[in-house]
Amino acid sequence: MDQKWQDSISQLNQRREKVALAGGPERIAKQHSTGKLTARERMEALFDDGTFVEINDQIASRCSDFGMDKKKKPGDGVVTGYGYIHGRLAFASSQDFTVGGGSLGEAHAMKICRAMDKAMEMKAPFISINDSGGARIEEGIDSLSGYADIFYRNTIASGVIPQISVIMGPCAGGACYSPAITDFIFMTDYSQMYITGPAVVKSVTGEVISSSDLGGAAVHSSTSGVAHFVYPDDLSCLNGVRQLLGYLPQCNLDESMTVPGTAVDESASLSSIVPADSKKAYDVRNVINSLVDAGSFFEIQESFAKNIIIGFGRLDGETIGIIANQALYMAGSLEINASDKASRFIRFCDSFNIPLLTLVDVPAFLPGSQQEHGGIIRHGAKLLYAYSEATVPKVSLIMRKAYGGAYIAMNSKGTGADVVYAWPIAEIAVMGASGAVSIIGKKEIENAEDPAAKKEELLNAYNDKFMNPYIAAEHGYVDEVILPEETRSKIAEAFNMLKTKERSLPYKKHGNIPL
Amino acid sequence: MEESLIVAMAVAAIAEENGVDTNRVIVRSFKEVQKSGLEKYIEENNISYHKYQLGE
Repeated sequence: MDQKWQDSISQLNQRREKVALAGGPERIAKQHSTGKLTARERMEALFDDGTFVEINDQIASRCSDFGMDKKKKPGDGVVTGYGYIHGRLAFASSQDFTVGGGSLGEAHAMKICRAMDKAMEMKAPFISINDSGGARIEEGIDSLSGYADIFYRNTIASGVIPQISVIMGPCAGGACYSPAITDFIFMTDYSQMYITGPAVVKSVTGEVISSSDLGGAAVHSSTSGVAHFVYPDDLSCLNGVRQLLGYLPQCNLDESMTVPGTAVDESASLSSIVPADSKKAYDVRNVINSLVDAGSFFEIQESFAKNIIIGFGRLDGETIGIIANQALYMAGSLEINASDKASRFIRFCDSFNIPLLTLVDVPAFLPGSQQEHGGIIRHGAKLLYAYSEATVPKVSLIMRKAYGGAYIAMNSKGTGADVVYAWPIAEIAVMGASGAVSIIGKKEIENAEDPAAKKEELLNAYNDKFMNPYIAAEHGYVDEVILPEETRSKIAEAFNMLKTKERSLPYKKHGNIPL
Repeated sequence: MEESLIVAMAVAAIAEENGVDTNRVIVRSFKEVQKSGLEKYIEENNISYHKYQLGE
């Protein structure tokens, strides 16, 4: 080997070492001391062992203002590349907080965009790990433009490839909008997301609030609904991402993998899980777990809008999306947050060919001025729109209550359900017996010698006539009334039959969902 | 016994188990595989960690 070869190899090795050192041992130690992994360690935990391939490792900032040319770091504070998760290709970016606080400048954004472009070309999921102080102020408008380039790609890729954001440190200002456009947001306990931080909040509004109270994982998973998953640390969080990806297809032209599991049919226990008295509460997750393959239910947004449950499960090894009213909270009624939560999930499933199972036990849309003034009409309409628009196989099971507009909104026959089952205890009506009798029997009750007895008589008559599934079955709104022990096999049969379903929508640029 | 000889014997044993003719296996060099940053971090901090695999 001649001298020029040796010099060139030595130069390359030095450059590689410099990239690998990132912000240096001190900053790496500081990152570790806060319980956080480095950008490359996160990539290693995300991808299958030994499969991560870094790309564009030498990209550096072109900025020379404010002495930036002297602080130039190869890699520019973000690691990008590809690898395999469960043996399937995926692309990712991971911001490196040890290099310039992971701040985003022109080159940093370009690296992320290139990886996103490759993910789109290869039709593979994109995972964005966020740990950044925000825009690199020294690079001015080029930083802002970098964010815009990412947001644009997030939007174009939406519904084409699954996009997952993982927040593992600060994510502030405009940076929040990239995760917000993506399909799922994971947060660690020590991460934060906010448009304006506590200092700005204090200076503008006078409000004093800590960063975790303003935009911590607990707030976003339970109050704002921004975060879909929260984990205590980086390793468990990245395992969560791996778990989620196991349910998803590579892109909108693909199907989810079949993952053979243990098919257990515990339908016989359903009549013990669900009380016949529609006023009694129960945990609908027990119903879900008795139907899906053992241990396959993966709940999403479990702390937000608890009155509706959403998540993925597997039936005979195949992914389904599940939406279920949760009688444990607000009697399972629908309100603004539940409508938003379910609608977005339905649209994700429809985008990525994931069949939908809806478990119905819903008394109403939640009444009250708070809901009306908050726009329940607009938000509730999203649910109707999402179900109506979805062309994937849609199966419903009406377990108990299905009243009024809420009945219609929960994947009813009229909004395009393919198969609707009901249990014999189901009550499908415009409203509950008490409310109905007090309206339609008002005069009779008032004029009766014994109003209480008359009301009781009318209630019994209403219950006998309307509070059952048979009128809906006679009119074709329920396809079959089934026994609890038949539930799993009937649902599995229906999805099997619907595998070759083809339903297309009329040509349009896009619909106009009431946002 | 020299370290390189032990490794050579191990390679030969694996080759034999997999039905490969050991006379056709040539070991060109031995290099200790460095632990990755993540492996070191997990080891140094005694973290109990298992990477999630599909179907678990």
